[in-house]
Amino acid sequence: MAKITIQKKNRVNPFEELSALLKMPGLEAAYPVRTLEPWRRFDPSKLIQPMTESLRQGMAVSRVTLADTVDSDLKSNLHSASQWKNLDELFLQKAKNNLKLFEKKEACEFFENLAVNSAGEEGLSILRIPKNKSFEEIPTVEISAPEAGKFHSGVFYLYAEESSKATINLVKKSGAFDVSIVYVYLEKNSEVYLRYLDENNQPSQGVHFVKYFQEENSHSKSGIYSLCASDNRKVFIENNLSQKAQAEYMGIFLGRRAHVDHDFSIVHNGNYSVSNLLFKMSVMDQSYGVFWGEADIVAGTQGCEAYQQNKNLILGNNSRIDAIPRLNIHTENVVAAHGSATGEISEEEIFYMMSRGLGYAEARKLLLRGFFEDVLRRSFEHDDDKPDALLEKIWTNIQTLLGVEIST
Amino acid sequence: MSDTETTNTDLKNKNKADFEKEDYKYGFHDAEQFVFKSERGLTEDIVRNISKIKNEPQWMTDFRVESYRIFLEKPMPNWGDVKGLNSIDFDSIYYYLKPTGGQERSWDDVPEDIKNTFEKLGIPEAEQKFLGGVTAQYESEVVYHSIREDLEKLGVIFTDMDSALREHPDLVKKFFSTIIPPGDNKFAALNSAVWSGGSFIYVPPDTDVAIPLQAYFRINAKNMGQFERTLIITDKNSKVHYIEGCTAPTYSTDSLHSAVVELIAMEGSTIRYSTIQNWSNNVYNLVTKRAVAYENARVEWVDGNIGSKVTMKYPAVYLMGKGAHGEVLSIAYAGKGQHQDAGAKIVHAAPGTTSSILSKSLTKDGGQSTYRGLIKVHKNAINCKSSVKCDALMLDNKSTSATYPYMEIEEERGVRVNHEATVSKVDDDMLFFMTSRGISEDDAKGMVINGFIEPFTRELPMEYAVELNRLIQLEMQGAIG
Amino acid sequence: MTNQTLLLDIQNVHAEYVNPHNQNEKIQILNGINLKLYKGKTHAIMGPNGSGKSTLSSVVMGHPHYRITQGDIRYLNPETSQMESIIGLQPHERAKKGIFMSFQNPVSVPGLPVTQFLRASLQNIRGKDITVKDFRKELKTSMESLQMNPDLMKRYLNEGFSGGEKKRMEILQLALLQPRLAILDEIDSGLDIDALRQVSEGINRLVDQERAFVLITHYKRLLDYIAPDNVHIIAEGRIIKEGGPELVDILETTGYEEIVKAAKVNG
Repeated sequence: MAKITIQKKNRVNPFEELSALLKMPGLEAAYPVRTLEPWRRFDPSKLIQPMTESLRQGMAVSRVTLADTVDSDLKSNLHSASQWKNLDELFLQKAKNNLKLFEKKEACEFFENLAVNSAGEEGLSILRIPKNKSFEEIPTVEISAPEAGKFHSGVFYLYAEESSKATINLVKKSGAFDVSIVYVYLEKNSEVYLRYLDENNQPSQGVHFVKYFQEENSHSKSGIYSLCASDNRKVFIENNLSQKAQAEYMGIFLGRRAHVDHDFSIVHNGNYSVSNLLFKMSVMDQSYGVFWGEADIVAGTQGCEAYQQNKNLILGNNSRIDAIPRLNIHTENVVAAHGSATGEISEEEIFYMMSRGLGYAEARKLLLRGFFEDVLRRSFEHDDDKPDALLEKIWTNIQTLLGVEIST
Repeated sequence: MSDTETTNTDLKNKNKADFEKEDYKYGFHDAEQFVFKSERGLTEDIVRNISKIKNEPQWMTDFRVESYRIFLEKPMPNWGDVKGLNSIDFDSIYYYLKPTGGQERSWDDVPEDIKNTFEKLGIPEAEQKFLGGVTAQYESEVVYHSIREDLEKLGVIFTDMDSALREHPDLVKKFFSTIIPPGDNKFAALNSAVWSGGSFIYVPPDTDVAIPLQAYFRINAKNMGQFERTLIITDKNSKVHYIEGCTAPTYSTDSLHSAVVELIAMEGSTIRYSTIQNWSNNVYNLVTKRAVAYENARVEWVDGNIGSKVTMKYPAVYLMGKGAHGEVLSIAYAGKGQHQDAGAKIVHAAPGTTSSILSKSLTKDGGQSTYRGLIKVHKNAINCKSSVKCDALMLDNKSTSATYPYMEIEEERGVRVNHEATVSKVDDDMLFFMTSRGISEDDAKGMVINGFIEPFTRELPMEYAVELNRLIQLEMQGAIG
Repeated sequence: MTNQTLLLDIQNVHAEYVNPHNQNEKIQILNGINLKLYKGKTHAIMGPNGSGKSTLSSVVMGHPHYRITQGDIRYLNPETSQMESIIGLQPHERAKKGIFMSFQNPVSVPGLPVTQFLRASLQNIRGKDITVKDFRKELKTSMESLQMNPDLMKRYLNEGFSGGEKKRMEILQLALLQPRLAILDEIDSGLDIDALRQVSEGINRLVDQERAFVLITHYKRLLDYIAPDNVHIIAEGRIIKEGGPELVDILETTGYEEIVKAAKVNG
């Protein structure tokens, strides 16, 4: 478990640690640490080079701003660590004692520590949702890497107090290389809906962690939209569910010349906890998408439910999909199921649409649209009067990547 | 169908005492009498000795020695039942035993003692007209085999591996170890160094072997390792069904079973390889099984894992020719102290290939069952379709079921790869429904379980299906009673 | 009243549902049921949702998730002609004594052939073996009289069966097992007009002097096909009103709410 220690001086030298960990003579050596399961499919050699480069340019921290909200309560609850004196109440301290271990292999621990230590107080931001408060608006938290070329790190805590309710857009603008952690802590009975868009207009690489801890009866719903061009990323999403907690994940990955791994690990620690994961990947132009979805039902729990659906579309040109849905069940009293399907845009479906008068290109477009639509529809409440800015941004990004117009 | 019904009636009429007697039907061993007994542990000299005693050609001796060196170098796998694997004491195992002077031709010539063993195992029942030739292995050396005249007339070669090397050296040399090289993994290397016994089957072109060919194994003597090596080749458009079923007595020290099975299905041919493995609960069963299917060929693995302390086995099919088909149907039962780490591996390396995997697992009393599978579609393997289904039935809240499927897809044109997995338990509502129709809870549970494994049992020849149902009932008796 | 033979006597039964995973979680559902069922009679039990209708039948059948906290259920032992308590008996023991319950949602068991299940059930209840040949003969006859598709026999128990097919499978078992007390829990739910008619015809053919039928239902519809002798209205875990078939029409016009209110007023 990464221990948070905010250090002002004597930061761990990431160069040295990385060399030691990867047992390399110098940072230029590029070889993968293939023995570590979560990294099996990820090619760290692709990471090391840009990381070295950016580290040479210098280290910077990501900046967090809050937009799209007039709610003063919310605004006043966005702090940077330096403003927040009492760190004891934060996520890790609280969860440390009752967390079923997120078993982390060495490299992951390394990157987590790297993020925390290099971000320091400056790069650590906290957004509190006050107790019993239910926010009407949907604020946008923007995490951006301000200094081009440098190595960026940032840690963001979203802390929802008891019975609070909020929907939050989280838009990340990564730099050339960054390591980040988003902690999401849900106290009892709280409900948080997170819509997480990685929006980059330059190739970016990095390792990202999104870690949830859900207390009793809390509900989380997360939309994860990874729309990537020329990126090389590893995203770890973990969740630790207490009794009666529920977590829903809807995600899409669309890659063009990108290698992105999404690694889900959901641990059901409490009775009657429910998880539901729907993840769709679509790759084109020499991309490589990896989905690792692990659901763990701990021994002694009752009535847990874990569902997982994964659908993948290969759009051509030397692309590759690895799909690894996994189940670890230690008790009989569960409902658990998962399914994964990979293929291309079905010729039969295209033929069907053409037989109803649509041209080939148009039919393909509609089918492509449909592939993403159902995930997006589940993430965004449909309101014709109030078009959602984030949703529009997502469709724009999708179309830019696909190189074709497919929205209505 | 009706025979399964008869079975259930028979079972119903038996009481617990009868079952207990049967339980040790397979738990006996004869006083050890062997002509030659090798020392414990393994050295290059022992490897050379084994080859010398068998009178093997130089190339095989060299192959064994080279394999032994690879075995020493190769690291232990760091996945699967790592603790169990690392607890194997290679130095305390006997690697070769030869019970009698030579090979027998018919029952009358077999020594009484050994005949007894086979009778207890039910082999004479199998020696029926329609079952064809039987090669029975005992203590690493084939003591009895008989090839039916029909098979000989067809040109089918069905013999033990040692005899095959002697009688058909060129044929064996052409194919031996072409599918699984000694460097594949540590246990394949071990087997390659000390292999003994196993079956060799060659079916000439356009030949359909209508009767299933069978073999029996047994482990006797303390710390006896079984290292049989099987090689089956079906030439163009031929068909064969091979059944491997084994039992072993219970010992206090561990036994190691590390077999290698290579199947080669030429164009248009079909190989079905069925196994019911019921090693006693102290055996480490680490098997490397792999098949290659050429154009329009078909390979089916029907794999039942009931016994052993640890089994690690992933029957594989490499689809190398257009239109080939690979199928794995497996069940795993993991009871107290057992770990079944099984699965399947299918590689689509040619266009138009199809595959399907159905894996069913049962766990109770703290047993651990793991499915580990791989579906790989290579670039340019267009129009491939694959579907995988994994179902786990958990019988209590002390056991573990894990599912680790891997899908690696590098081609999209005409490709469709599907996977689904479910975990379930014997529903209280299901039991209530059945008991409200007069069926006792024990019987009801038995019916649900047999229903669960039915897709597997229906693929087995009748007496195996019956044996399997009985085995499962026996295993379940503890949990239900 | 004419000579009626009491078959089942439910005496002041209070029962609760116990959560199988958490024995401390209990919900009281039956609050003192008093009900007498007679041989040769058809009894209809009607009530709104949540009144305890299904719980009542589950309790009579001995469902392990329900616990009787007070009261007794006594059943006429055919051998001794004495009334005996059955609350200590397991479901299959009750089945052997001739109690049958058709399920509102019949369970499907994958991989279990219908014939295997039916034959085992039959043998257990009759207490003697039946050859496969005799069984198939009996089965064929029963299926024909119920106008059931013979192909269903080749399938697995209720797997992939439509709602109507499942209910007919229940009636088929009723016909084969020949129980003394048949409790049909919402046999009409999910059936279209034709299916309902066929199922009702099957039931009517089984109505017998030695047998008692209990039809649990919301609606009048089923009772147009199968005429009840006695009607019992259940609400909030109690039988609040009893009467003859005319009660059905009264219920139809006034609805449950009124009758429940009236019952409360009358104490």
